[in-house]
Amino acid sequence: MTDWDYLNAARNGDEGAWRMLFRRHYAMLVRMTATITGSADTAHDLAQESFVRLLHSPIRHQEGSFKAFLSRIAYNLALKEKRRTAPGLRLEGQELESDGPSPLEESIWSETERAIARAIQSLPVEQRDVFALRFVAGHTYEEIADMTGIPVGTVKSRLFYAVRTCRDELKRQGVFT
Amino acid sequence: MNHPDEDTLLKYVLEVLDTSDARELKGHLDACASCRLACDTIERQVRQLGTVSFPIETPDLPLPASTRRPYVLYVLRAAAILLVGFVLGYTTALMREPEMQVVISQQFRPTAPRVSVSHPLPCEQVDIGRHRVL
Ligand SMILES: [Zn+2]
Repeated sequence: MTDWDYLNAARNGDEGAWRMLFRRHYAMLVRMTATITGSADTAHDLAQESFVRLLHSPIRHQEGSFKAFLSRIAYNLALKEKRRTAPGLRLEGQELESDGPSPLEESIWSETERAIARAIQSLPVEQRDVFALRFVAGHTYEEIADMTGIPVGTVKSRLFYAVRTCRDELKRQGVFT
Repeated sequence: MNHPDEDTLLKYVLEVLDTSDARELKGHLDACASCRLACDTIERQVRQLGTVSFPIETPDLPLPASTRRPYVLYVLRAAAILLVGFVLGYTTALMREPEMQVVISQQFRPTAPRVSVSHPLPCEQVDIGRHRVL
């Protein structure tokens, strides 16, 4: 049974199929939306909202990647949430400096991973989104271009700068060699 | 090919290099141990960046009850049925108007002529013509 089959079953009231989809994709959605929004709590809300929307979204054809379909719903919700909580223009590189570790960072046990999370969170928004879609959700460059509406070349360069910035910062801190 | 710089290696790892450049670099990596080592390090770090995890507990979210039939749909469907019923009833009423007039006038048909009690008249003199059916 594919994820699409499970979805159809869930739409017909099959509780087991619903749970199966949840088990398979929930964590990925939370990681991705947490990376984008910087909040684990928000990420859980967004992931659950994504699943609820999944049940009612019109689907023209069920041949593409189910994961991409679901993560696109979550990505759009995360964007909306970001706009809601941080209105106004924010230029690339002008992220707000936080004073201490965020709740998201605090929930990470390993010191190294915490440093990595902080480096990712301090990336410019545009780079962080591409980073989340590529490394956390596992999308192809073409899928990301389609989801974000930016050219594939731009997706690649944003990802390159995102990773380079993180590496530089972590090397500076002595986390990476 | 000279030893590639770190940015080029990173682009190679991220698979954002042009196909021809990537092929050329691959050839160099096959032959150069120090670049291969540098590339492995970058690859490991990139993987590490992508696997930062925090504890995620998958909640037990029950299948929303609205899945079977959204409440809004029920309301809309009821409204549609009422509307169709009203329209049908109304048009039927319009089409049957003349017939109904007859029914109504028949209902109000006097059962007996009014007869003055104070000046009783013989039956033949009662003017029943005034009480004829409308
Ligand atoms: Zn070399």
